Amino acid sequence: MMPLQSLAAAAPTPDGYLLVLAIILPATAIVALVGLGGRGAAGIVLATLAAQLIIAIRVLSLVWQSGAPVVYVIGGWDPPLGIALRADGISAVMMLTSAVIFSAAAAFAWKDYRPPRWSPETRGSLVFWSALLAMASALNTLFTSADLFNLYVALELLTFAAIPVVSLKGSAETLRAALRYLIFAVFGSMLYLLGIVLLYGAYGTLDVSSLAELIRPNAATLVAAALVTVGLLAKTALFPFHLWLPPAHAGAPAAGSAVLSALVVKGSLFLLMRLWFDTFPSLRDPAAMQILAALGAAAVIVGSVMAIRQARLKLLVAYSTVAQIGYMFFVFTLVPVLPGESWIAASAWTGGWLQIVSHAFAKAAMFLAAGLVAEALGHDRIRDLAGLGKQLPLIVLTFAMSGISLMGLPPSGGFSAKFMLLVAATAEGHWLWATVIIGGGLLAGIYIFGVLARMLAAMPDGTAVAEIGRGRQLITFALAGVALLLGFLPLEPMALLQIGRMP
Amino acid sequence: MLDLFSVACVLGGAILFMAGTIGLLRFPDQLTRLHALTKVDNLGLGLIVLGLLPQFGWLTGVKLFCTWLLVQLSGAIVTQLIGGAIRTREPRR
Amino acid sequence: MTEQVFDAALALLVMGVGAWSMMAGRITSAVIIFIVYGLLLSLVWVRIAAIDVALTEAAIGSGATGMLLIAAAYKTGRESGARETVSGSLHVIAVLLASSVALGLASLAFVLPGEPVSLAGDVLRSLPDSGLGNPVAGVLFVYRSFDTLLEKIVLLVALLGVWSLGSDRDWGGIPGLKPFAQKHSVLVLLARTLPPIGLTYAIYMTWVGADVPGGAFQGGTVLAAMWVLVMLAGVRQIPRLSSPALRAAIVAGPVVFLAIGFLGFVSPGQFLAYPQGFAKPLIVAMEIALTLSIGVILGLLSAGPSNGKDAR
Repeated sequence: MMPLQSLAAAAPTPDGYLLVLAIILPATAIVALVGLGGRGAAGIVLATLAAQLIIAIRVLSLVWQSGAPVVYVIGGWDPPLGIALRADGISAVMMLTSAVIFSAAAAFAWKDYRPPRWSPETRGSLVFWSALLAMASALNTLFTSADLFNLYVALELLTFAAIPVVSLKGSAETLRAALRYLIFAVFGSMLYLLGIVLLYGAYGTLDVSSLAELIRPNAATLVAAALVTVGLLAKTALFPFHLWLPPAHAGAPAAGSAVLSALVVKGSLFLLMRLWFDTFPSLRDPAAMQILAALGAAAVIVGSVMAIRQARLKLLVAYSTVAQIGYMFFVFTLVPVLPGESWIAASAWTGGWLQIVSHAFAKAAMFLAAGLVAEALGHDRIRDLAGLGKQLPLIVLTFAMSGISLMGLPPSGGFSAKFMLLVAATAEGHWLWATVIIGGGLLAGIYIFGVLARMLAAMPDGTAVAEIGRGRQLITFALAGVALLLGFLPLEPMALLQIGRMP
Repeated sequence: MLDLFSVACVLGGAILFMAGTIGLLRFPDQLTRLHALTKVDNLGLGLIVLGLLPQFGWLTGVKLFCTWLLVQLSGAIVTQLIGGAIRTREPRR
Repeated sequence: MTEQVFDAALALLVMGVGAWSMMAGRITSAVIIFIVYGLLLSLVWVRIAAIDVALTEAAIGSGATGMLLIAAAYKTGRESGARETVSGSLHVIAVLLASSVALGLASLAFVLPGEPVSLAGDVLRSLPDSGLGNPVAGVLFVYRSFDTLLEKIVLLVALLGVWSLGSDRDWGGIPGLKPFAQKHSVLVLLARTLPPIGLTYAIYMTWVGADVPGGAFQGGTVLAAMWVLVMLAGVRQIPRLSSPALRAAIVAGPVVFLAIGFLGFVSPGQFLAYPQGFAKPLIVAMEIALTLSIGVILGLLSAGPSNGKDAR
């Protein structure tokens, strides 16, 4: 079969096969786990996660050095007939972020869901590791695929992998949370699918880059864009679609919550940003973008206030995710429609991605810390956290460090992100959003310091604290450390994040 | 001539289906409604298949005949099951 | 003229049955009407010459989904003890949401560009290279085989999701599906006579799928239906979920698919590309393995998680 070399955007690069491997290796691992009934599971999981990490580093360095995207055309069939994978700057950054957090979550979960070496699997081990690998595969597809239907399949894989993790504990409460998640997620999938069907009907292609050239702001296109956007918002849990998130993320086991909150909601968010900035830039009506920013602002306020009102630590952390997702939607209005992007717009772009990445690390650390707290005390009632500072100082420190990033205090990735968003908002005269960015930080301060104050209070007599291994504490601490270290990146637009952006 | 035969058979089948549907809607209880349904499945479909046979080659003819046979099999058995279910639910008066 | 009358009547009927299903007061009635709706919809697909979609709609959209919905309605009704009625506000919201999406889409039919744009021409032009005759098979196994591969992983993960609903202790045991029939019921007769016919038909469907409508998914669904019938009649014992043979059948399709995908790296050099001249035999091999896996997975999705009998 002779591939037809047509679109310049899809010209494959020599190392493009890495992108296929990033998707297919975890998929192959799942098939092996199920087929072998747990035999050799430890080796399979470790090898796959290590490969993920190596591939992500390699892709990032390739994109960085060449200054151009890495591209692969599957089966040699060029788009629009076939499917292309394309990793630009933001894809490479997200691939690495997810590979690191998956590895950390896996190391954390190793004790509870130890994959059997040669003995038969258990329910927890098979479901947890298969779901983890499926999420890794789905996220890498979402970060790299250039085909709207292939992206739909990735969304489905992500959803069906995430839901069993929510109900892994098997209680009636978590089953209810999983069912609610399923209903929201399937609703989102349906709308996304309807949207891309309309786009295909109107333009005869599903390829992201060819669509960008063809697209015209007519009725069908606008409806399609609206359907796709609402569908993805439901999966991203932006206010008012956030109702499913807190029970789902709080009900999962700690390592699962960390991955769900840090990465899974970012999958659909990544796609939303990819579509609005690369595929529909000509549809970006400033008023419509203001709606997204307004929903983001509402999410910041509602999520933070709800977090303050929570009595349980894991629910507080989950509501904090609802709030932190909101910030990312300011990017839609702060990066103005082309042409001629200013320095301000570019720093808003960097700020948005920095928020996504630093929230991923901070929130993963915070959920893991909350899981350790619950394990140590046997409960996660915020009222009864007193004395933790003395018993488990490293966990409290970790919680504080990730809290610093979420509040946006310097030096932390969260600070840099929110500062750059704030600068852009004031420079462009969006005073309302600037106020929300500052106010959201204050509200986050209330719920973070509220928890810290309880943790550092004197220990009441007769509190039993279970032993927590050093390893898991250090993993959690390291994740929070990354969130802080991201704050030492220079406060200016990063060239890496601009690589491969559509003109 | 053959066309005329086809038209007559298919028309007959269609009329039977119509009658069966009316029976399904109008008959008083579940057992008599089942009766209406099975007659239609058996005869109505049979007539339609018979009418279509001369219109196609032998291979399609065999397929059509198999379709009718399968509908017979499943129809008879499902009717039995439904009848049995009705009997266990309402003990004989 | 007759065709237009028929199409119009069919369209009205579909909409009417759809509305009826939303208005039905009892869940089981709504489900049964929904099954009828699915069958009518497959007639619509036939009318617009999408035979593959029609087959899938009838088998999955109407058949398998209908069966699962009836089972769910029956189970929730029995376990909650309440009469299974459709509940108030949520139902209204669902009806409004579904109707408004449908109306919105219908109104868009008038604003879409008059000339249909699609890749159908391109597909037909490059199809002969692959040796396939059915353009749908071409899309599923040549141009967009990557999607098909990932879909199979989705199916596998969905099965794990269903299994995960069982308890830790019961993991790997026999699924909780209860045989329905007593010893000498007519259902047993059906479960003994129909499967040989169904099996032949499933093989036929898969085999012809390369050239005419049909293929692995349709064949697999027939296979699954036969197996569910056998399970329901209690003719054969359902295997333990940890049984190696069962696991092998589950992963057979994905394993062959992945192997052929990786083979592409060796020759002709891309993942999921077929070596020159071998496209058709490789695709048929893939479809055969996939039929088995799809049949087994769909059957197991219906059978549900292990219920603790004979766990490991």
